[in-house]
Amino acid sequence: MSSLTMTYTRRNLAETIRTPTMFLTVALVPVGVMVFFVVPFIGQDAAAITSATATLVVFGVLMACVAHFSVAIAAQRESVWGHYLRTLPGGIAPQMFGYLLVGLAVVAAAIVPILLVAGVFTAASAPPSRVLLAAGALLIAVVTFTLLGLAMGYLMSMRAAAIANSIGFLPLAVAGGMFFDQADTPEIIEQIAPFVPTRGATDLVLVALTGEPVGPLSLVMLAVWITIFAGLTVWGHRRDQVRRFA
Amino acid sequence: MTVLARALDVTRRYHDTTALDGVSLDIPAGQVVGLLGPNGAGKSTLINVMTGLLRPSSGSVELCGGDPRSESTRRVIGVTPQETGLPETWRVTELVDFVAAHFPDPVDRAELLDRFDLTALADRQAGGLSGGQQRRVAVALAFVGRPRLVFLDEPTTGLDVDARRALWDGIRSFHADGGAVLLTSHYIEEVEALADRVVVMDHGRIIADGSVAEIRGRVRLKRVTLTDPMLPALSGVASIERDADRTHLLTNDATALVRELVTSGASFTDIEIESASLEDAFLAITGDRRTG
Repeated sequence: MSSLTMTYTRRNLAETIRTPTMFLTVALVPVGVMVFFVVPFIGQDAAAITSATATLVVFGVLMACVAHFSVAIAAQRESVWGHYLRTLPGGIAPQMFGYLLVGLAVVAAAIVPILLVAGVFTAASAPPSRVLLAAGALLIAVVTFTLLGLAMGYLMSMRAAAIANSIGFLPLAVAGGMFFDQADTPEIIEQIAPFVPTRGATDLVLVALTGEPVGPLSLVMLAVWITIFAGLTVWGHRRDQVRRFA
Repeated sequence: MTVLARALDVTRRYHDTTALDGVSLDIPAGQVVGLLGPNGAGKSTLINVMTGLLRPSSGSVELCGGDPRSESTRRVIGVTPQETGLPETWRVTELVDFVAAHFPDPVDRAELLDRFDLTALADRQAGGLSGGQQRRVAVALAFVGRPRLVFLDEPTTGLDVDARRALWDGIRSFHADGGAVLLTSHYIEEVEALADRVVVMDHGRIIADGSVAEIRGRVRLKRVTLTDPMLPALSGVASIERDADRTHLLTNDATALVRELVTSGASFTDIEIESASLEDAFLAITGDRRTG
């Protein structure tokens, strides 16, 4: 890894920590939901808490990726500093790798507390091989939501991205059935959830973790969403380059 | 003489407006070029095209013989960010180190801070600096990579006199070491103090290009204002403008004009002579002054 990439990573990380609103929200909200709304009710039901933990981890990844990448990209496009960076030698790659590495750090900040709470205070458990498999599945969730965040960053102004961040992920999570027990999920959510990317990501991680089968529809839709988000990111990036630098 | 930057017949359009219209400009090594022009003349667009941020609609741009959009040619130029855009939480030293990381042989940080009188501010966050201090930091960043050519877009607008002198000293010492500068400014005295050569732009075209002495001769106008309903025909007047009963004459030689007025027996009253504004000078050069 080039030293310039490390420079961008260090600076971006320092900035994230010095203006910590986003960072703290991402690090505290998912684990807060877990501690107050999940652990007291199903903390000692091993199967239920294991699935709930996996779901919350995916929720944490969603929040972290969307918040970090949408704002980072929108700010880079809109700020005069981002414009100035274009005049420096070194190219755009170190900057993008820097965003990616810091994004992974934000993801870690979101999910590590959840895993700690689950491991220390609850009956959640899974064999190591399953955990490893689930980690691989989670990587796909990271890719999905990173692409969503990037697409938002390229297609939205910084204001719009900030607003979308504070309200946008909730409907995504609810529509994907993340906050419902399988037993009492409302009919309407049952109908739409398989078409929502959060459901596909959650299902993938759950299959990997528990081995219980899920319907293929949500997984197929996840692949479709990844393609759509990737397409939007590439299109938004090109449009942005043409608008600002053509 | 080595040409560091060359624009050849560059035209740049935005939608339906033409920001640059057939501009050709060479910047040789070691020369300080002052770029003057009213707002909207195309100065910033020219700089953006020459630094590779924008593509010309037609024509070509070379930086040290290469494409300004390629990475290697960017090592030899220095550009100033707009000071309002410095990341607020970064310290001055962090800004300098960050920019330095992009270049193979950057200037020593302490030396740079000293040159731009920033040593006392080294540990302050950019967001906490005054506007003038931020601007000095922004200008200093252009020099971090030991560039051969620096683009400075209005480096001293809004600075107090001391800060402006400090910046001028920084630019002069760079020039003394053989560096070239393309400088835009609203202050003609700044261009006079720093530049070897002056280029005047208006409406996307270069309308004058010469040594400071040549251009100064053309823009060192006086504005002679008087009341006279029946003005005789006068020679040596660059433009005439009337508002109500007052008449404004722009001239390069106020003394000769007054002598001419007196000998012609004109019945003028309330005569005032003042230095013409820079805008007056530009408009006189373009011959674009409205009359009547």
